[in-house]
Amino acid sequence: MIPLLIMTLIATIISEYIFISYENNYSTRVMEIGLDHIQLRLNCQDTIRAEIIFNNYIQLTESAGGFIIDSDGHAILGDIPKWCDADRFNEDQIVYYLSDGHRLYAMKCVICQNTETRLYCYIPAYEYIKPFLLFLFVLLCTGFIPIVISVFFFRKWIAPDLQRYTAQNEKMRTELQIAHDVQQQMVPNSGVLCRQSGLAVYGMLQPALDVAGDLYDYVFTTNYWGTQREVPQMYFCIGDVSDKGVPASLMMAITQGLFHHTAEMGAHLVDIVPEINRSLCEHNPHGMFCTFFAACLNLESYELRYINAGHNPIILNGRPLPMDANLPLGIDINRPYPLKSIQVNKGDTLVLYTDGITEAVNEQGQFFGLERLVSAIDNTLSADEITRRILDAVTAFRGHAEQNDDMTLLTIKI
Amino acid sequence: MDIKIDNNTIYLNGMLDSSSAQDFQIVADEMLAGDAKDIVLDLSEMQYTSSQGLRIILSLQKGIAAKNGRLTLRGVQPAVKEVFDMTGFSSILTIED
Repeated sequence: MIPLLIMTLIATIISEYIFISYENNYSTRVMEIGLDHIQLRLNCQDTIRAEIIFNNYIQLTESAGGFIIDSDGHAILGDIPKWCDADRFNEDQIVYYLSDGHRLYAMKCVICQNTETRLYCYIPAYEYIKPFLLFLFVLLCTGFIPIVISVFFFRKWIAPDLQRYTAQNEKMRTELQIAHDVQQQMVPNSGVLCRQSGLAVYGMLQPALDVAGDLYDYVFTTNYWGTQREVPQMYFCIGDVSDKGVPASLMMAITQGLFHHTAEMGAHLVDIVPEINRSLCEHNPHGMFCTFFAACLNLESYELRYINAGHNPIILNGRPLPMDANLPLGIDINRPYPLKSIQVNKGDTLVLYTDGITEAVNEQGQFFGLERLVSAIDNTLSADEITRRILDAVTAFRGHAEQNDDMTLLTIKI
Repeated sequence: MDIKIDNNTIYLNGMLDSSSAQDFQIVADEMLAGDAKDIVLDLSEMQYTSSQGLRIILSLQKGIAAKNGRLTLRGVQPAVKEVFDMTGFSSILTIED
């Protein structure tokens, strides 16, 4: 702001000076006067010839318009345009500002033998182009030059940085988009209904940022747990890494990868969960942790065995399943994670969720809460419909408030 | 969220969510860098904590334990207590009634 004011001041002073000297040029121009002609040097480029007809009668011959009147003020030649203002600015010269924007100059001059005549010269518009340009110059100086200087500085110092920053930003955005796609590929069939072994499973992971710290997985496999032959099983899990974004997503990937790999091999839950816990504890400089629920459903007997590591209780047929408190993974490497077991039946509905659902906040700062979640579950619907109903309820509740956490749902219709 | 420090006590007032967690992290780091061995976390005005908040409380606890000090939580509100219970944090944190 201050440089702008200084520039304006300087530009005004310079232009005033030029403008005034230009005006003075007019009054100091000398007319060559002879008995039969007058030559006016109005400007460096312009010469107007005038001929004396007789005595104090003069006719301008090469001007765009000119009038000579005698000392009494009577017009000799042509029509004088109606003038609107007259301004005496020195003894010998009078300027009239005409209504059409032109000026009319009058000069005292001696033409024939002591006869004093005023010569009125009608100056065409182009003569005044220069002052007009000066006026434009002032205007431009006050606004344009600071802009030019700013653009110069911008191009020299800021633009390269900005360009670099934009390129980096673009690269980062692309990488995050790829990370997002990779993550969505890690969780099985997000947003796609899966029917297998008489079950319907529908999972959905909706990150708050580009990548999420939430995870879910399900694996159909077989194992020998407590039996003499291979029994079909469905392993599934849901988890939520503390924090959000890229750091959380890396931990999510470790957890998800370990679970998927060990479950596919038919490992026992009591081995899988401590193994993930050990891995997270060992590579965890920032003390992040992961709430985790892992389960294994026997597809013949419908016995559900599970381990909960500090995750929200799962909902069985519209009722939260009471669970023992236990620490999330990644905190204590020696922590035991006891295995629990319940009997479920064909037709039962399991809903697993992360706290991004129950802790979704509306514009009034209220939480969606477990009660609203439970009442949004209609067990008569299919797995995908139940999930979408819950999501719709959360979205409607949230209103215009932003999604503040990753949201994950896994619905299993047994 | 409003965070105040008085001697060795940190007062958390409001919601410890992702937007205020960073401020709390800074305060926690400052406390750990300081001389104080025993630190009290006053949560009587805190209605909610996100998992980020839990992580910072946990790292504060670990940091103080490494200095042979002790972190005590005071005035834990029911909603926050519920989260501590569900995540098993109640078993590793020192919570005053």
